[in-house]
Parts: sequence; structure tokens; C-alpha cells
Amino acid sequence: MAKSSASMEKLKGFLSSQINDEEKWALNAVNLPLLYFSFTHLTLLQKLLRAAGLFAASIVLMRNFGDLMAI
Amino acid sequence: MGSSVSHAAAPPPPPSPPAVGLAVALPPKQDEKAEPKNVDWLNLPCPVPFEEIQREALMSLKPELFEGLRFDFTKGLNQRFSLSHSIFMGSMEVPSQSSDTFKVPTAHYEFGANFLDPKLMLVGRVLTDGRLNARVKCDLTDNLTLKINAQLTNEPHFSQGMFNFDYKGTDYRTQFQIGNNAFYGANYIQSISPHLSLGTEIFWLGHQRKSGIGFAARYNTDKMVATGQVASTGIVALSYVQKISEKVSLASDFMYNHLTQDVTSSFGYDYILRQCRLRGKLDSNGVVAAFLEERLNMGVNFILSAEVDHRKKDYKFGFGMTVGE
Repeated sequence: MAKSSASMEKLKGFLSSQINDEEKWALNAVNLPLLYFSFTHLTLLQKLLRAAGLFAASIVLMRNFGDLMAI
Repeated sequence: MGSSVSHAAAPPPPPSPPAVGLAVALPPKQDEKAEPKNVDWLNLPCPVPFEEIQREALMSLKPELFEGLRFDFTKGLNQRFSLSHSIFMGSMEVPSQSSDTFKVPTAHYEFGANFLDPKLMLVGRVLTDGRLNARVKCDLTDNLTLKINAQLTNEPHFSQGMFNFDYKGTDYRTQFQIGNNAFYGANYIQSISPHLSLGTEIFWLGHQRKSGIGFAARYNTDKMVATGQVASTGIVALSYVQKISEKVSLASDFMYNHLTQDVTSSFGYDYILRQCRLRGKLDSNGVVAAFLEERLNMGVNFILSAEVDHRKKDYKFGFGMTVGE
């Protein structure tokens, strides 16, 4: 318990130094929304989910509603 | 008067109309769910060649998109021999390390000669930038085929050549490849059931001391084709094609490359109509493409190609004409 409380104090100290310091906040906060909402900078997992989702959804649509596209 | 409901037996159903025309000759229609036929396990169909395992998906999803002007003219001199002239003026993409596209304006004229015989096919192309492409396909016996592909260039160490020996068995196919830079490869594909075939391939690159192994599976019915390929080079490729009708098919594919950490999925359609063929696709990378071949007259085709990459803001439009077969 003592060790965990000491490490929690260190963590709190680190976080407050990052957040309260003006320069560090400018550095960290800018990238945060970019990572979540960027269209160009996706992680591999996000790309994999997007591609797998398109593949699976297209198969489901093709099998169930493909006849609608017939001429 | 009055409604006297007769409790007599319900009137007999109207007699079926007499069989007329073809209905007399043809056997009566079976139920929708016919009994499954007994499978002759010793007489399975021959599978498609290993390199063509995804051919339906590639035909629909990978048309030859281009940017610029393209003009092809093919002139048949006799039943077997023909000459071709091609002009291309436009931009070609140069692969670059960064994500930006790097385009180089190119213009070239290509002269080609084709000899087509039932047992022998010779195709040669020479370009104004000094490149020569040659392809030979020769049926040595009924089951054994030799294929040679060669690309010769002026630049040293850039020429390539490959020999392929294909053997077709009753329900299997096998291929052995020898290429320059000490490349050796082999693949084998076997029909497991009337609908399922499994294959494997192996290759060895002598100069770079690299080898690889891959496995593939193909399941096809009248209405759909599903394939999957896995290779030790870190590639997983899946595809699914739904044949809606003779004229329409929809296709989807998924490709994961572990080395480049790249994953792409695309969905496309293919309409083969009497006067035109229209193919279009949508990508998970934000690329939308379409390719139209319109038959204006006998032997004259008008081609339109469009590829829009929304993510990289890269827009490619091309038009062209093909005269002759």
C-alpha cells in the first residue's frame, strides 16, 4: 500500500506538471483531438476495424439485398 | 332465393391446362429444393489455376485505371497474326516512400505483334522508352503447358524473365516457376469437393535468401465465389463475389499486409451489358473509382476512367479509344 500511494503521488505530481505548465499543455492538448478525430492519422487497429467492417457489411448486403441491383 | 350454402363437396380444382409446346418434350419441373445429387468423389472438377484463384474479384475490382489519353489500334493481318499500335499520354504514379503521390508525365508509343494459334501464343510489345515485353504460351502436351514472360529494359539489372511449367491433372493443377535472380517457385491446387478447392505455394529467392509459403482456399457455387489467401510474407487476402445475374456481379475484397502495416477493403460492382461494361468500386482508404467501356460500333470502344482519392486529394481522369478486337 505504501508503495502504491508513493507511486500515486508521483503520478499526480507528473500529471499536474504536464497540465498546469503552459508549454506542456499546449504540446499535449493539440495532439489529443487530432488522434481521436483525424481522418488521415488512424492507428492500425482503427484501419483494420474500418476495413473489416466494410468487408463484412458489404458481404451481408450483397447476400441479402444483392437482387435489388439486378437489371 | 336466399343464400343456400351448399354443403356439397367443394368444386373439384380446375384441371391443369394441357401441356403444349416445349412442355411436352421437357421433363416436368422439379421442386425448388431438389434432392442433393450424390457426389462422385473420384470425378471432381479441375480447379482454376492457383494464380487465378481470385480472378472474378480481380476482374471486377481491378480494372486498368489510367490517367490521360489512351489509344489502342489492333489490326489483324490474317486469322492468326495481328499487329497493335498503342499511344499513351498522361501521368504515371511513381511509388514513393512518403504518403504523397509522385506523378511523372509520360508519353509513349507501343508497337505489338501477336501470333495466336490453338497450341502456341506469342505476344511481343516494344515501347519507345526501350522496354520490350514478351510472352510465350505453348501447349507441349494436352496437360503440360509452358509459359515464358520476359521484360527487357535498357537499364542494367532491371530486366526480368520467368519460366512457368503448368501441369493439369484430373482434379488438380500444379505449377513450377523459374525466374531470374535465382527465383524458384511451385504451387499446387486440389479440388476437395465439387465446390471447394485448396492450394498451397512456396517460393525461394536465391539472391536475397528469402523464402515463403502460402495457402489458399476457394469455395464457389453458381451464385458466389469466396476465396482466402494467407502467405508467410505477412499477407492475408480475402475476397467474395456475388453473381447477381449474368450481367451483374458484386464483389468485395479485404487485404492486410503485415509488413507495411496496411489494410484495405473495397467493394465494387460490375455491369456487363450489351453495349457497355461499367465497373466501379469504393475503398476503405477513401478512393472511389469507375471504369466504363462503351461499344460505339463494331470493334470501336470508347473508354472512360476515373479515380478520386479523397484522402490524398488526388484526382485522376482518363479517356481513350480502342479500335479492333
